[in-house]
Amino acid sequence: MTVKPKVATVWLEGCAGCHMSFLDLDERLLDILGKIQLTVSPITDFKDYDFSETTLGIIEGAVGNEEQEEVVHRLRRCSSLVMAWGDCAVFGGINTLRNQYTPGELIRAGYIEPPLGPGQVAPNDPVLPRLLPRVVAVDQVVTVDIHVPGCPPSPQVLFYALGEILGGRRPRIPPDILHYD
Amino acid sequence: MDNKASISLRIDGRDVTVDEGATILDAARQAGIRIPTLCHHPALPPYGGCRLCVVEVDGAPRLAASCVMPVRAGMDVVTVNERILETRKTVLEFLFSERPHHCMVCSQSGDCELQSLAYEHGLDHFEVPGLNDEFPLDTTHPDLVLDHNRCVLCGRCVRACRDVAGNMVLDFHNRGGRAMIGADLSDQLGQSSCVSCGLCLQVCPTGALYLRHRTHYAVGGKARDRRSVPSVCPSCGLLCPTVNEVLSDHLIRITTPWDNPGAAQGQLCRKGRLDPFRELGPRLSRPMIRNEEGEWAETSEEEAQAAAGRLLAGWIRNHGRSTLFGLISGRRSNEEAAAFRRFMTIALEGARIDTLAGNAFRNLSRLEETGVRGEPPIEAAGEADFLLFLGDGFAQSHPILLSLARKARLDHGAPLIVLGPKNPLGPWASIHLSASASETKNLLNRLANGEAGNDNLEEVRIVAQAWAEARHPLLVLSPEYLAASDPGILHAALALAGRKRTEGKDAGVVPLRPEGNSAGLWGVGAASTEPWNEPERFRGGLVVLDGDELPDADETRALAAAEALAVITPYQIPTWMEKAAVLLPTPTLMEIEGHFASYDGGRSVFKTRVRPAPQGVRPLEDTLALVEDHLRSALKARSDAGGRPMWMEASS
Repeated sequence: MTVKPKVATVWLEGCAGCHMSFLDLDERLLDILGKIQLTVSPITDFKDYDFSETTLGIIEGAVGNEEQEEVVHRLRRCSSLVMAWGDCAVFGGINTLRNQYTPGELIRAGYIEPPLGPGQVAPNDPVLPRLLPRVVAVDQVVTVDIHVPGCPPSPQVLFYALGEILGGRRPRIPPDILHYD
Repeated sequence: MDNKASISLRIDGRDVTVDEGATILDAARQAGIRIPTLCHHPALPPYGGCRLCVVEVDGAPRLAASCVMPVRAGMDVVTVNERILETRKTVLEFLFSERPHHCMVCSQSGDCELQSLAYEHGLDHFEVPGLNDEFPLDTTHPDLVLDHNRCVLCGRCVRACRDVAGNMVLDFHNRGGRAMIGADLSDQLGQSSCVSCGLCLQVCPTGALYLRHRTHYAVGGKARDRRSVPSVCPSCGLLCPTVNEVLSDHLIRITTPWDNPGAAQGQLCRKGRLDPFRELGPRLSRPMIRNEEGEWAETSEEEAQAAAGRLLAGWIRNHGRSTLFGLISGRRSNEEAAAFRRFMTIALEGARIDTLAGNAFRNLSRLEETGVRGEPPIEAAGEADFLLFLGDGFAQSHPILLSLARKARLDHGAPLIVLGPKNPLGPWASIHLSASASETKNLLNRLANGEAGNDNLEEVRIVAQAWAEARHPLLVLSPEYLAASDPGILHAALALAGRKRTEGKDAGVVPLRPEGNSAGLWGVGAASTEPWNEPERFRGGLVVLDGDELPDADETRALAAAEALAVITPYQIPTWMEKAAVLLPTPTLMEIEGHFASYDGGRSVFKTRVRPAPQGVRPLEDTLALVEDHLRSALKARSDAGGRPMWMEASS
C-alpha cells in the first residue's frame, strides 16, 4: 500500500472563502480526499498544529500578526511544497487596506476611540498575538512554490492545481481559469 | 492618390509589406500577428508609454516599442521570445506594484485591460511587492470618478481629451513616481473645465475612470455576462450610433464605435453617454390620479385610462373640442408620433395638435414656403473657418457642437463668436458678446450692411473684420431663437449668410431643432402649421413627454390656462403634476424601439430597444388606444358632470 501524501491547510488573515471554495469541489472532493491524508486543516479543526512530514502545505490568508508569521515559518519548515490560496495569501489582498495606518492607529480607532460598553475593555491579554507593522503576502515571509490567486479561487482552479500536484507536475494556471477576483 | 512607398520587412519569419510611415505594430496587425498593448489605442496618437508592445528588431540588445517604431525596409522583427515575454511580465509587475490595484474590490474587474494582460501572461503572483501608499480618489464630478489608485498613467485619457475631444482638460501632473492624471491646473474634476463628454471613460483601460451612477450598485461583471446592444442616441438629430452594455437589464455603460462616420467621429456628448443614467425624477411606473382631496394617488391602469377618457369627454361635452390641444415631445419616435396623430385626428378631432416647441416648426416651414433653403449639415461646424453662435442654448441641445467648435479653432484657427446671455465655450470663445435677442438681431443686420465695421465697441469691429475675411463661415442658431414667436433672428441670420454667398463664399445657417426627433415628428404631421393665436383660450388636453423638455412661449401660455390635462410621461415631473389631473406611464427612450429622423429630416434611423420597460408600463401606442376606447364610451354615456372642478371629473 502506497503512503498517501500528507496535506495540511491553514487559515490565516482571510475570510475562509478559499476553504469554502475547496468544499465547493463537491463530489470531486471525495476523489481528492481518496488520494491525500488531510492532517491539519480548519476543516478538521485539530487544535495542535502537527505539521511533521507534510508533503503539501496550503495557506489561505495573508500574514498580519506574529502568530500567523510563526505558523507560516513552521509550515514551510515541515512541508516539501507550499501552495498559497487566494488573493490574501498571494497578494496580501483586502487586508492590505490597513497598511496605510500603523497598528497603533488601528487599535486606537477600533477599540479605544469608540465608546466601550459597561464592563468592556480593549483586548489586552498578553496571549493575543501582536499585529505586524504591515500585512504582507505569504511569499514575502517564506518561499511559496505554487500561487493560486482568486477571491476566492474557483473550485475549478483549486481542482486543477491539486490535480497537477498530485500528478507530479508543477501547475501553470491557464489564462482562462486564472483570475484575481 | 496614394503615393506612399511600400516597405517590406519580416515579422516572425513572415514577409509583410506596408506603407512607408507605418509602425511595426501597424505592420504586425496588418499581418494578423498579435502584439499586446496597453497605452496604445487605435483612435489615439501613439505614445510609447507602457513598453508592453516591445519587440526585438534585428536581434538588437535593446527591445523596441513597436507602437512608435516606424518600419524600415529589410527589418527583421521578432514579436515573441523568452526575453520579450519576460520583459512584458516585468512591465506588468511594475505597473501593478506602483498603485494598490486590488482587483477583488474594483468595479472594473473582468473588464480591465491591465487584468486581462496579466492573465494572458500567466502572472499568478508578483515578485515586486506593491507600494502601500494611498492615492486620492476624485469624486467631485457629477458623472465620473477618477480613482488614482487604479491608474497606470497610460495617458489614453489625456490624449483622448486633447486630440479627439479637443478639450485639453486632463494632463499629467508631477513627474516620476509622483506623476498623476489631473484636471486643468490641479483642480478637482468637478471644478475643472471638463465638459462631461465622457470620452475618457471609453478609453480608460483600467478602473481609474469610471461612471459614478449606475442603475444598480453591483460591479460591472464579467464581459461574458453582459450584453452589448447596438442602438442610436436620439438626443439630437445627429443620431450617433451607440453601444449599450447591459447586465440583466441594468444599463452599465454607453460607448460609440470608433469608426462612427457621423459628426461625432468616435465621440458621444454628455447627453448620449451620461444622461441616460440620470433619472429625471421619480419613475412613474403606475398610473396616478388625484383623489378626493386633490392629492396624487396610484391607481389601476384601467381606472387611470378611464379617468383620462372621462376628463377629455367631459371637457368636450361642456366646452367643445376647439379649446383642447394635444402636445407631444419632440423626443418621441416617429411611430409614437404617428399613433399620437391618429389619436388627435380621430379621437380628438378638431383639437389642436402640436409638438412641444412647435414654433420652431412653423418658423422653418414658412421659410420653405418662401424658398429660402441651403441648410448645411451640423458636421460643417468642424470645417468652418468662422463660427457664430446665436444664443447659448446650443450647448444644452447639441453639446457635440462644443467639441466641433474647439476642433475648428484648433485645426484651422476658426474664430468662435458667441452672441448670447451666457458663454458656453468659456475660454475657447474668441469673443463673447452678452447680447439679448434684439441686440443679436440688430448686430446681424449691421454685419450684413457693413455698419458693424465702424462700431464703437472694439469687439464688434473684430467680429466684423473676421466675418469679412471668412471664406466658409457658419452661423449656428440656438433652439430658443428658432422656437421664438418672432423669427427675426433666423431671418437676419439667413439674410447675412445670403449676402456672403453673393460674394461667392460658402456661408450657411444651421437652425438647431429644439429636440432630438423634432424633424421626424414634423414629418409625421404631429405639428400644426397654424400659430397658436390666443393660447389662453385653450383649456385642456393631452401631453406626451419624455422627461424634462420645456414648452415654447406660446405653449407655456396655453398650459398655464389648462384646467383639464392628462399627461403621459415616464417620470413624475413636479411642474407637470401641478397642472395635470391624470398621469399615465410610458417607456423612456431607452425602453422603446422605433424610427428617428436626422436633424434636417433627411434620414431616418431605426433605434433598437436597449432594455425593457418596467412591468406594467405599456408602449405609448397601446396607452393611446386604450384611452381612446374610454373616451369614446364616455362620450356615448350621458352623465352630467355638474359644476365640479375638472380634477374631480377625472376621479369620479
